[in-house]
This record gives sequence, C-alpha cells and structure tokens, in this order.
Amino acid sequence: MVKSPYYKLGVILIVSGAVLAPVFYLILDSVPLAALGISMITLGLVSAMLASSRPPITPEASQMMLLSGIQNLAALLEELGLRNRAIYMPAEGAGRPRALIPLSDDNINHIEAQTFPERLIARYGSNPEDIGLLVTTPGSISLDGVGVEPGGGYAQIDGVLSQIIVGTMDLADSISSNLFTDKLVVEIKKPRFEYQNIWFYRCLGSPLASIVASVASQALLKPVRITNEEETKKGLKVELEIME
Amino acid sequence: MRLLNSFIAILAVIFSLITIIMASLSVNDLSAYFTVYTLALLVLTTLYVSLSEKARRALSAVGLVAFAGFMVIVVIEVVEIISR
Repeated sequence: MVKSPYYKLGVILIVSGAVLAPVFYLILDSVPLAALGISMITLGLVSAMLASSRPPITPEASQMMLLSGIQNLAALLEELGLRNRAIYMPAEGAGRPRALIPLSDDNINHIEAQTFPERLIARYGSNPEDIGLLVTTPGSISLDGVGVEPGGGYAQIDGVLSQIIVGTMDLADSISSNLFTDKLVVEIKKPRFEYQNIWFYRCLGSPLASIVASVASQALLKPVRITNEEETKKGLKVELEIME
Repeated sequence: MRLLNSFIAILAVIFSLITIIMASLSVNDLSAYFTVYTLALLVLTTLYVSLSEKARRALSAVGLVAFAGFMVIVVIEVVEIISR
C-alpha cells in the first residue's frame, strides 16, 4: 500500500493542504484559498483511501497467471481435439459456475444432468457420447466476491458486468446489453483485451466473453453458450445463446 | 485504474470549480465551502456505480469523515444561534 501512487499522491495532498490552509487563512486572510487547502486535504484522503482498494499484485503478475492458465487449458483442448463451443453452466450451491465442453455437438441442446460432479470429465445425458469436460474459466473466478443473485434475472446483468469488467478489473470502458427471446447481446466498449482467433477463444470465448457468459448464466440460472464474438468500431460484441 | 483516475481527476476539477464559483460570489465562510465539497464528494461517489466494493467502502469512509465534519459545523452554528 505504501508504494501505491494513489497513497503517495494522497499523502502529498494531505500534507500540502494541512500546511497551506492555515497559512492562507491566518496569514493571507483569504477564505477561498484556505478552502482550496481544505479541498486538497479531502482529495488527499480520497486518494489515500482508494490505494487500499487496489489489488496487492501487479497487473503484469495477474496477466502472467491468466496466460499460463489459458495456455495449459488450450493445450489440453488441442490434445483432445475438442472444437465444440463451451456451455456455461450456473453454479450449483456454493460452488463456482463452470463451463462444459461437450465431446460431441449432437444432442447438446438438451442437458439432462441437474448436477455435475466436481470432476474434469462429466456426463450430461443418457447417451454414451454425452460426455464433456467441466472446466473453470476466467469468468468463473471473476464472480468471486461479487453479489450475483442466482436467478436474479436480466435486470442485474448490466450492473454486475460493469462492476466486474469496468470497476474491479478495469478491462473496458462501459458495458451495455440487450435481451432477446433466446439470445443476449452484450457490447463492451473499448476493451483492453484483443480478440484472437485461436482454439481456446473459439471454444471457451475470450476472457471478456467468458466473464459475460458466466454472469449471464448465473443471473438467468440457465446454461448459455457464446455463439458469436466480433470486434466492432466501438469495441467487442458478444452474442450468447440462452439454452433451456 | 482508469476509473479511479477519472474519479480523482473529476473530483479535483469539481472542487476547483466550486472554489472559483463561490469565490466569485464573494462567499467568505469556510464552513460553506466545506459543506459544498462534502456534498460534491457524496454525489460523485453515488454517480460512480461501477466502482468495486473495496473502492466504494474506502470512499464511504472518507464520506463519513466529511459528513462528521459537516455535522460539527451544523452543531457549532446551532450553538451560536441558541446563545444569541
């Protein structure tokens, strides 16, 4: 916290304000300038307090860990030859939401399983080929500590996505979404992540789309699938299919 | 980080504007300036809906301190009025 630039700025402003305000008020007899000193103290307090809201690890360290996780998962997907799009499942109980990558695309519109085991390989239907990989995605982790009411409905999606992507992670400038009958379209303005046409992104979506899908699945309490992800002039457009 | 930067920058601009406007209106009461600063801080915190929980808690603490200062001003004014 001591090394944070916000903390340093805060201390400088508080000390300067505390010195200048009495000087302006008592010696120069200027109320507006003394008020400016008080505003510096207030601004310094805000800056110093905001320093504590920053994560203790650097963005570079976070990026390193995210990339290593993505590359390990991408290697696993490539080795298994999985090309199907993942289905983001809502969390069960106190667990995290996870993504199911089916081995086969047949019969995927009807997921029979109500609960899934805490395992990598899971069965989701009665047919022998109804097997898939259950993986934790960047979106699953992003929901930690965020108040998403399971089944709370569409109304909370925009707010939660803004809180995670804009407020906490600072990955984009703003979020807006539109709900259709069986489709959710989310526009992310000025994303800091570039979409890449790589195996992992085609299967699980980009980290941003993964966050969107996890939040939507949890808020609607329905499985969702990323059907399209494209770069637009404004940023990134993510389309989700809401499954039954 | 950008959101916090913009919050601090906008707050600095608002404080400066308040000071300039009130000075041009010949306001010579320090407590009046402090009251308007406190209001500006509370309103801006409310408008920044995307702030993380941690940041919101930190700003609430500052808002609480500023509000306590505002209450002290109110109490002093009330005592002055009563003692007249």
